[in-house]
Amino acid sequence: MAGTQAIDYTALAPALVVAVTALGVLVLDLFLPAGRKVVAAWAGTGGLVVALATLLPLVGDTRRTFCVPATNVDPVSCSYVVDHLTLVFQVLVLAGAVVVMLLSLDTLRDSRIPAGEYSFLLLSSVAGAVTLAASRDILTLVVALEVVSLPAFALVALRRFDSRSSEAALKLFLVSVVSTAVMLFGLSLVYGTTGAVHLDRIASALARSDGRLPATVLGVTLSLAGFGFKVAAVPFHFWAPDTYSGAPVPVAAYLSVVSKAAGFVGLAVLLTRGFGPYADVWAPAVAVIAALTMTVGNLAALRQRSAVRLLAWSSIAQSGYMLVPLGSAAHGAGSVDAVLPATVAYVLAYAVMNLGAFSVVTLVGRHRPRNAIEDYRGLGRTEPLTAFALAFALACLAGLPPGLLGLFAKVVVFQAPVEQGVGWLAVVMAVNVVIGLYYYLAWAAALYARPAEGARPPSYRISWSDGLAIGITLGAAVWLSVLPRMVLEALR
Amino acid sequence: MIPVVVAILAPALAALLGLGAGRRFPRLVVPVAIAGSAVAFLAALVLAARAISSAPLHDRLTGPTVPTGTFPFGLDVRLDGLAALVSVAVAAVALAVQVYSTAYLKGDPRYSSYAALVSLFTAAMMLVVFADDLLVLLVGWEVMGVCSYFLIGHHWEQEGARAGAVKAFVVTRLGDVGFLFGIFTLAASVKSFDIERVQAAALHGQISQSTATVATLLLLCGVVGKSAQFPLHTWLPDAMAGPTPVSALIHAATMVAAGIYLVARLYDVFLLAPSTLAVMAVIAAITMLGAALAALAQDDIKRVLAYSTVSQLAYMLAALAVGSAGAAAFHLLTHAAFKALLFLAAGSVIHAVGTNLMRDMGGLRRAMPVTFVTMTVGLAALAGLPPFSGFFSKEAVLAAAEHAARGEGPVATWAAWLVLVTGLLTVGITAAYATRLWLMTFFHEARGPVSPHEASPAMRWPLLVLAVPATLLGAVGLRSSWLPGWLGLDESLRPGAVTAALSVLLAVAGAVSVALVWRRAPATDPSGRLGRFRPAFARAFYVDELYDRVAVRPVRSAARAVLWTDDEVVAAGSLGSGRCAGRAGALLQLTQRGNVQAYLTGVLAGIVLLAVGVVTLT
Repeated sequence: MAGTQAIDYTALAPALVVAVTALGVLVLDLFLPAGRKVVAAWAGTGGLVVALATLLPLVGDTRRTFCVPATNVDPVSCSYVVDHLTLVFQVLVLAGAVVVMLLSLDTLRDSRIPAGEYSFLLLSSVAGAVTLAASRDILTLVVALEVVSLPAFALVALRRFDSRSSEAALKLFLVSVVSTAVMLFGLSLVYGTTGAVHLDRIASALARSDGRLPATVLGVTLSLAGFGFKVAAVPFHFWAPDTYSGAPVPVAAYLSVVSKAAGFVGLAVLLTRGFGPYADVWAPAVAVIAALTMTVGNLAALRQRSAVRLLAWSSIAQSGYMLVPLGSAAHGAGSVDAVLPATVAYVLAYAVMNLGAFSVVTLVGRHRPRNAIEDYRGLGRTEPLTAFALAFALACLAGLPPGLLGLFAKVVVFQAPVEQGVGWLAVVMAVNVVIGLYYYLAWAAALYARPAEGARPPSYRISWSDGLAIGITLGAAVWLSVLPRMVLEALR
Repeated sequence: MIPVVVAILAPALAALLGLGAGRRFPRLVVPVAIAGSAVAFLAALVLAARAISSAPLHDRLTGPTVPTGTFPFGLDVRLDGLAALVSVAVAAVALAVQVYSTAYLKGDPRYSSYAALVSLFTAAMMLVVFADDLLVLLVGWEVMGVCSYFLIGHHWEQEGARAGAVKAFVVTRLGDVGFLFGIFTLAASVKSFDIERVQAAALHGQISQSTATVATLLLLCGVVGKSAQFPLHTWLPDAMAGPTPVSALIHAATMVAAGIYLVARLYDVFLLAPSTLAVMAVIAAITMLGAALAALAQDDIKRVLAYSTVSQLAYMLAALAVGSAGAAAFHLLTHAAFKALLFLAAGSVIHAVGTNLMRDMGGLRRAMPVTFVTMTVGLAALAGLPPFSGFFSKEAVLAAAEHAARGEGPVATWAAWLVLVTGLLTVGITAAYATRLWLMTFFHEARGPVSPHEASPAMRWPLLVLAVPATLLGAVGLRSSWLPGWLGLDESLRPGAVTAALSVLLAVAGAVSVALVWRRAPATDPSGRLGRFRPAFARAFYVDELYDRVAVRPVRSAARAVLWTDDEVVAAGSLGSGRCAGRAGALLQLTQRGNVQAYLTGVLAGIVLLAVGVVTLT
């Protein structure tokens, strides 16, 4: 019967649980006494865990909902699809959000950031990220991407007492608006030439068209902008360092891991499922962006003195690595499918190791607001476990043993351009990995250096929520260093 | 099978305790180290009793299997007569050495790490003895090597100790490369690292002759390195820079015999490769004669014993070459007893007179009666005089060679003849250098400045205890139900009539001629009569000098060239590129001034460039 259709609520459950929890937290906040606002954050964390649990029934088969009937050229197409790729990213997004919430608990208790609003905004953004992973038409993709972004502006600005925070939010907002505008222009061109919004229909329309329409080529290229902004790829990266250092550190962690992962899943889905037939158009563009992104990110990171800014530039550089497999896809649909697992593997590994680094940086930043690399000197003497967690995360990011997780992930990414014959990209990446070694290792070495004359190396009472966050990320990094197949073959 | 695990783990645990807590609790160092080897010794005795009472024993404990991606390896141990008897020898010498060291190295500032390393070595050797997997065996093999390195360098403040340690490590490493590839060749052909399976495959003809030849030749590299055979024998005399008890344990009784043990372990594979056996025969012949001649002209008492060890190990290799694993094992066991005894007695002498040089000894017979008597026993066994143990085991080797020379062995008859003739000649020379050592050390008048004294009880007792097997152990070969039966072998280890008569004759001739030379001028070195040959013997035929010219100096020059390239080209390049990267970073900083208009301009400019590029280029 036209007009009504069954909705698969099981498939929607993760997104719904997060969204409902967000609203619930907002209401709950009204009834909490002034000193107990942090309970709202607790409730939010609980909601995320429940959402993780609702993923369990989805394992195994592919579920589709919000479908349009078949036409004489196209089969049934659906807007919301939960397949293996979706599940992998939803797990990543939700688990990453749990760690971010754990890191936020102490920050919320000790600072003047309103806990209720904070939790509401974070959960709203997470709901967008969960939806983004399942979106299979360009409208849902755009809406979900905006749902991820809009609360993020407010989250960055939540430190209302700090002018840097508002400035950071404004920069994020402006760059986002420009990128989104460009992307919408590009997507409308694609819609105009293909007449379809569902990715599979766009793909078949593109495959059917003979010759390359310049309008379509332009549309495909401009569509990269919105996701380029989300993953902080050059030249859409300008917001990242200023925003990371202006925002509360857990929000920076959120932006660099969860929000970035959402951007990557959107980009990967759009490029491989939608624009697959045009791989020879977008892959070189992505390759150039990847090369620029990792080079700019690494070179700028060399000069950083602040831990958060260093991580900001480093996460820009890491985005470059993640783009490498997509940039190597050149010839036909087979190649597109071949490179996707490498990107997914690297995003997963990156999420684990970057959250590990941010966990410790959040902890240190709470005691040393300046959060300079110098503040980490001698941490290994007073806080051996914390220092080890950070050192291990940095070794992973650098791709150096014992950080085998990062090493394996880099090898997998590296294989893509080598196998697909994009040699120059492999060379650029190799050079960049070497540059990256310097600043990661200099930082790791500072952890175990003799403290400066007269300076007292930092020593903290670590709350259990921080300890749990550090433990989860370190445990995951060590576990995956020993058994990397879980990440490297996540799509198999 | 529990005693096997105990024999491996008890010294390992002692090593762990010693390394971990030895510095903090110096009083515990000695009890822990001795307890470790004592427990291992008891366990080995239990195993040997089982092996003897239920011979031929063949038992196996399957441990967990470790996947490697290709062929898994298993932490399996196996127990048979050979393993049990060798483990007793290892544990007994280790225990004697631990007790002896308490007096010999009394007050040494690094005693705790010394004792722990000796324990670790014992554990590693036990692992080699009991391992039933080539990779596990390799682990023990390499741990022994590294312990040997550290213990030779125990007195690292002395130049000689450092150089000796490095030389031992590098030279054995050279052989180990071949060894590793030998293991891989075998494993690739059998699809398993399991020694039992490798042996079974060899017996059932599943290994082709060419594979067996390649694999055994590669394995032989490691054996030649570890057991100090020509041409990789040069490290052992220099290893004498280590403390004497270490020389007794590692460089006489156990580690150097591991190469022989390994061949015996994989003997069915070696029997498939007659050309490898011939190579072994040639190596053994060159080594036994050359080393014995070198021993004849050494002045350092420990270097005499070192060359004698090289020469005696060559007898074991010769036994394997002519097809008698039993004779090799027999000589391995008796040699472990009498050579450990000789080294410990030499240590006692060195401890008393404060020098290694025999020209400064002399007349110690009266001052050190226990050392004198026990060393006499050891030398008699070494020289192969009946009824001491060395006589029987050496005769077993010679009988096997004679057997093979009659064409009844696995090796070509010319190789067997070569072994037989050089073996007999070496008997005479061995008796000669043993007599020279005996006379120069214990007879005539004291030439050194200090007045010697008998060793303390902790050093005396190990000598007396080791003198018992050095004397009697030869008897186990007399009946085919004894040693051959315990080893599960169907061969006789009894001396042959002709070879025994000949070798006793030669031994007596060698000893008597040295004694006659010595009697004319008792205060001087009898080896002076060698005349023009003496320098060549003393320098061991200039092999070291040859290696220096051919290998060491070219490598040094190449190293200097590499160093120069690294300093002038690579370092300059990396410094320059580092500076470039830093400057590029500084340039990029300029784009990140915090100006939003600039950011947006950058974003839009980037998009325009990208779009124009893509549209025009596609």
